[in-house]
Amino acid sequence: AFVENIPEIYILSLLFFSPHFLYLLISVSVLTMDPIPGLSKLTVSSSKKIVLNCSDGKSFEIDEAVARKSKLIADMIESGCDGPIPLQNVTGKTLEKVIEYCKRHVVEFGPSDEDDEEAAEKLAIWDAEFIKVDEETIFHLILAANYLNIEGLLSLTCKTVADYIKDKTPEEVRQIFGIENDYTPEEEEAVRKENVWAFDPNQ
Amino acid sequence: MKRYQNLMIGEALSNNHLYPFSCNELSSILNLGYSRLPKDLKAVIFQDTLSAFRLLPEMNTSAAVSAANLLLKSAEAVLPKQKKNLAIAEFKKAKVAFKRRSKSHEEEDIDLPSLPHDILIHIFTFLDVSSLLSSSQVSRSWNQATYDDSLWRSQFDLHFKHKFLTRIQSGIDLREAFKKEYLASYSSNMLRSGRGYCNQCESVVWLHNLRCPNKQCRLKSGNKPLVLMSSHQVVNYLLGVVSSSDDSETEDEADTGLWVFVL
Repeated sequence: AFVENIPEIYILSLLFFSPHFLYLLISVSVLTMDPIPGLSKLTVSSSKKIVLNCSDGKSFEIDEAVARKSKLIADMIESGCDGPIPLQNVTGKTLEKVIEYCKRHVVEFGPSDEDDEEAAEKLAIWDAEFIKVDEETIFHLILAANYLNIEGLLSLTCKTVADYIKDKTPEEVRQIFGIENDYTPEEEEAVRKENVWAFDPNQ
Repeated sequence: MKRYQNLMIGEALSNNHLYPFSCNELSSILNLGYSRLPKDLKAVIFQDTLSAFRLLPEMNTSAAVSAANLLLKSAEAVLPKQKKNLAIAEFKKAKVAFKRRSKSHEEEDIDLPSLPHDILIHIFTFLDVSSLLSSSQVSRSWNQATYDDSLWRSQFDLHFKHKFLTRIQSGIDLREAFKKEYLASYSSNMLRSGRGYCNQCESVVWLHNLRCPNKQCRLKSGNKPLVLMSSHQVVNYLLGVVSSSDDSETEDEADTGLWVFVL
């Protein structure tokens, strides 16, 4: 008897809930139609805010999901840290750039493969523009990414610096990075001789 | 003509890293085969030579300057009078612009923080062998960072995928081991061209980490290293010539692969 009754109850409850159901359907479709992929995921998930205090006194309030891009901060959240997080090693200017990176990278790729490739390409273009800054900023970004343990940002910045170094002579590298040559001329010549095997003898 | 387009020399010129390689390739083509080329191809090569000079100011390495110098010498030796003068004029303009740029760069005084050891190592993971060794000449701390084992382990993987590291006992300087392997495997010619031949897609490509830039090829071949090509072989490819075995410096392995280059 109970089994026979279920279909009726089913239809009744559906009718009862349908306005709400329709509303949910509409709002979900509106959210999924917006241009930034994955934004719907963000707004539906928890919007708990994390406050970060940098070394020169400024405070930044960001979503928890964004903050979690930093493994350091994520660990702190896991171990129950609730209040504002002090980041003595990062200045406001650098932290702002870091947050910009995290915000763009917190949206993950869609489920299908085509979405992935296109999204990955767009992200790469965004990254290339993002990293077009002077060397000092990049260095500060590297140190911040290292301290905050943000893998993607660390790789991006390190690869950029590596591109500066590529194919340059040691003197050119020293000039770009303002590094002091702590070799004596004899030592430097010895090191150069040691390395000659990898170089084109004609150049 | 199609083969020249496949080589993608023009595109490589605007790449900071590939600029010296493509200049050298243009020099080789000019030196070795210019006279044998059809008229329209000669015109294209001339245009590319001019663009090489035009792009020089944007490059900021001395390697770029020496490559451009070499290209100029080849152009002077091979091109007919009118084209030669155009090329020389373009080169002179480029040198002036280059000097202007490098002067403005020198005036900037940068005060950069020094990087900790493990970050230096992380940066070095993105470098090729010659840049890595140049870095060891920069300063003592940089030199120390270049001795890190993980760097050379990945270089081993990149260059000599089929060889196993098991016979190398721990405690041995991996950098020295790499050097031995490197000298044993490569003749001086081979990495100089920056070119490789992909057996999978059967094309001559610019070496990017010793692998084919085409993702599909990498997947199919199991990420095997490419066969290296010398500049001589590239020119022969362009001319559609089969290399004879009196190319004294090519290894046996490369010789057998050469027959495939004739299309």
